[in-house]
Amino acid sequence: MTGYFLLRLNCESILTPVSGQVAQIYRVDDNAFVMDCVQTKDDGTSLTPMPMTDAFYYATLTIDKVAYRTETDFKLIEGRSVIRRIWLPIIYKDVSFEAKNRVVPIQNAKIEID
Amino acid sequence: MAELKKAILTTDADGKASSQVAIGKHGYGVKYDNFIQASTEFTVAGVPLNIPIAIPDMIARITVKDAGGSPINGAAVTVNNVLIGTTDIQGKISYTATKALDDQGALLDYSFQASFGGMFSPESVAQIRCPEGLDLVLNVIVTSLVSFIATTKGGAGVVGVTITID
Repeated sequence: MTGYFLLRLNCESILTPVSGQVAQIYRVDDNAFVMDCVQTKDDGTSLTPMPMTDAFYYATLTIDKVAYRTETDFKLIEGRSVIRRIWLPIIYKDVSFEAKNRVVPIQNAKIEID
Repeated sequence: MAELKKAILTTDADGKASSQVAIGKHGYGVKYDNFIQASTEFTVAGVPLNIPIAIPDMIARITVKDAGGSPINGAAVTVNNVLIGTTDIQGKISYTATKALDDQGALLDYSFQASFGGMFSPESVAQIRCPEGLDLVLNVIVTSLVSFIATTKGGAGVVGVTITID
């Protein structure tokens, strides 16, 4: 039997969904890693199928060695999706671009990020 | 999509630009002269990200012809007064520019000239655009020395004869 864990990732200060992230699922009793969540979609959600057991689980997303954990633990329920949320602060990372042709670096290329 | 930190970046002399971007999925587009790369997605996770951008080659396709419009094989061609080689049997040679824009972002002028048999084409100044490049024809006026000698039947030289050439 399979249950489904529906994760929602949000930035807590602006309530914005966080997409493209992969959280990990652990068992509560021994903190053993169980599986990776499905990568979150543009709405910040991912639906991860899991085998049904009696165990309780939690999920974490680790960034800069800080593990952000689901608000509460969960147990899978047959035929239903168990929904939990992880709240994240806004975390910025360095993103660098390097423009070049086959020969040399290219100066004055304009890059627009949204 | 995560918190948006919209930014427009300009690459430096090393071709690099960077910004702090919130974790999550983002889109980016690139413009260099006429080259436009439509929005492409990238995902910021827990580590810094380096994204390479491939800019197309900027190629000047040069054809050297004589006054009659025939291609000249073996014509020497210079770009910005530097010899880049000689034309092939079709009168063609190509030159790959390293950039279309100068350090201030303005279009860069390139100077072209061809020579053959001691004769030169007029200097031609043009831009090599990205990504379309440049198609250019250089006309070398090839001339030969022609001498006229006016003599009497007896072979004496005649001074003051007017010769008209079309």
